Amino acid sequence: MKPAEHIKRLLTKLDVGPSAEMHDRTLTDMMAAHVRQVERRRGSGLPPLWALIARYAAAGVGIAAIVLGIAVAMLAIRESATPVYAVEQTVEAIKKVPVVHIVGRDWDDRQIEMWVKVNPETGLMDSCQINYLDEDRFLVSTPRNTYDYDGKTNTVRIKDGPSVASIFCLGDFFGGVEDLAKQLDGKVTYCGVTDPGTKRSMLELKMSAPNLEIVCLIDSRTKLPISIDVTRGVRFNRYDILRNATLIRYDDAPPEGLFDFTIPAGANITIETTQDPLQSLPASVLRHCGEFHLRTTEETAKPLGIWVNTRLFFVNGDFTLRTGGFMEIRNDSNEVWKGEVGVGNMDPPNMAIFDAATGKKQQIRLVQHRQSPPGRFRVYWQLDEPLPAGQTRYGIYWQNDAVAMQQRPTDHAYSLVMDNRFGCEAIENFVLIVPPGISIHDASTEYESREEIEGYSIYIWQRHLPQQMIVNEVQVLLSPAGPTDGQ
Amino acid sequence: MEDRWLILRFKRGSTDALCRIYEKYERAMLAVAFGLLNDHSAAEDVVHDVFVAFAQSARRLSSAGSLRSYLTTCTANLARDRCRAIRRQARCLDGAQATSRDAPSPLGEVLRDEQLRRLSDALSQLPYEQREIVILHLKANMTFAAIARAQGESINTVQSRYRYGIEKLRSIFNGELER
Repeated sequence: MKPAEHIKRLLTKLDVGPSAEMHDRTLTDMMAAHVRQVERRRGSGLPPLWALIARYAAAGVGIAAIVLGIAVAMLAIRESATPVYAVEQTVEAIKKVPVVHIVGRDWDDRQIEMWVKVNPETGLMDSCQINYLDEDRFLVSTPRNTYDYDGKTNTVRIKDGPSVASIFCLGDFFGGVEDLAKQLDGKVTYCGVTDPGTKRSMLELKMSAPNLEIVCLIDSRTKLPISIDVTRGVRFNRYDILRNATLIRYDDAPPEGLFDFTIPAGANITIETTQDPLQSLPASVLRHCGEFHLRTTEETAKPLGIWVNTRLFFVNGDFTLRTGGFMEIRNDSNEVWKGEVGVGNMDPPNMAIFDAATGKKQQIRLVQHRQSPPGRFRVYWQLDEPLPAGQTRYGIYWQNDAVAMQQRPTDHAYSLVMDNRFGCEAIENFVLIVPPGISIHDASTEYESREEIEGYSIYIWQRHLPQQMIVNEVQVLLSPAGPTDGQ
Repeated sequence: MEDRWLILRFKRGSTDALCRIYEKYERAMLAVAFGLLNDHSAAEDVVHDVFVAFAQSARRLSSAGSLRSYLTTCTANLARDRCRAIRRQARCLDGAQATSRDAPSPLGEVLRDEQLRRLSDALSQLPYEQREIVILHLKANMTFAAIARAQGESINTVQSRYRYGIEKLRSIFNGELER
């Protein structure tokens, strides 16, 4: 056993219990400090609306109920004159907002908090996080994937693309509100009201139809909506999330890493995705691997007159593994090669080849050999550009379907064994690629280098293999939720 | 994930969430502080101060980071300050350190396991910087990158100190660890 492992094992036994005196003293002082802090926040210069909410939230009273009460009070003090306003002003104003923070209730009357990142180009939602405040559940939706975490069952559902929830979009709603009213035989009216707390003038936009009524309050100065409430009606379509957005804020700084999802330790993962993880691997990551392979060839292997063998291991965010390696085709003829080149026999249910220099996916053709057993194919690389005589082209191949990795019950880490028997003297590289949110928990051999490219970590182990055949093996434990920096 | 939820509630003023955070991490933080200071009552003081400061930090706290990592970093920072203060005090008192080293420490009351006692004594012989990294990495499961960020050091420095620390522990144990 390595000394570090032995010490770690001993340290896990280092479990020191607090004395009763310390426990009581800490609890008492901590609660006193907390109460003082809450009191200070009540007296701080927060806007009256937020000060109220903070107070009632601390007292355990529903935020939505309070805000609804305030909204009703505001509506009571209406001004008769309607200020000059066009709904397009709101649509444009929303486009300029990078992040929207919303607290409200959904159609099942669950209290939710939403953070929405707006795409500045389109004004539409880019990513969002929805926290269900009364449940241990939250959802992160990005343009690439949606992660739905249920804390009760400790389950993560991973889906392709953004969530249906992400169809929620403020700009869309305001841009289409007039059309919506027409479709439903309703109308849109505007009138001015005054917020009794801030004395600021607001606009009330009301869309009334026989079966639906939506009331929005819009800040006259910024033209941004500060609340949206469906006061009458039923869910318009199944994609609707919010029944009312009782608070909408635009200047809250989002917590760091808000839209990054890290799979919690020990979570059950349900994958509802058909997307090949390789499609999401940035070309720059593959380029980096290719450059490393070529550098090893030029700087280390060539002077020694030996081979370089590079094995690739790609662990996706759902802890599925794909393995691959480097291949090269050298044109030893006197003619330019065009069309396709045979690159070997494989049994590739899910074979893929990428150009090592550009990271671009290459076309391949698979031909079943007459003599080969069923399922074994001859692979042809269809060259996208001619290969001149004497030139070499390098490719990265992935040779298998994604395989689910085994999770250890003891510490919930995922175990990966990278091994190979090359059979002659060579420089062998093991390249491990992991996405954001996954880190190395432990390794049997310390890695030689680590690079981070577009959030993906690339770990490299290099070994000079002797002439006789040996098993080159590195065992790695991967952890889904490696500790992050302090806050 | 529970942590994220607890932070959200705590930031909204929930005392229940604060209590749950305390109950959840009290022992772990105490073990880290104890490993760093090798003194039970000093470790208790550190954990007390960490949680009292934490109770006042609701507004500053980000709900996105790792709560365990945050509390561990706070504990390590306070323990480091405490250790410096002890060193200063020891210098002033001339020889007080030797006395305290020789006297039976509260550790003896807490650790019945001889091997653990030896480990703890061995840890206390490491330079503080190395001891801190060994404890944070092996006991608190912090990555080298996270430790480097928390200490404002380069990851290479942190890894070197860790290696030196482990080497020294091995030499203290006279190779016993490799058996």
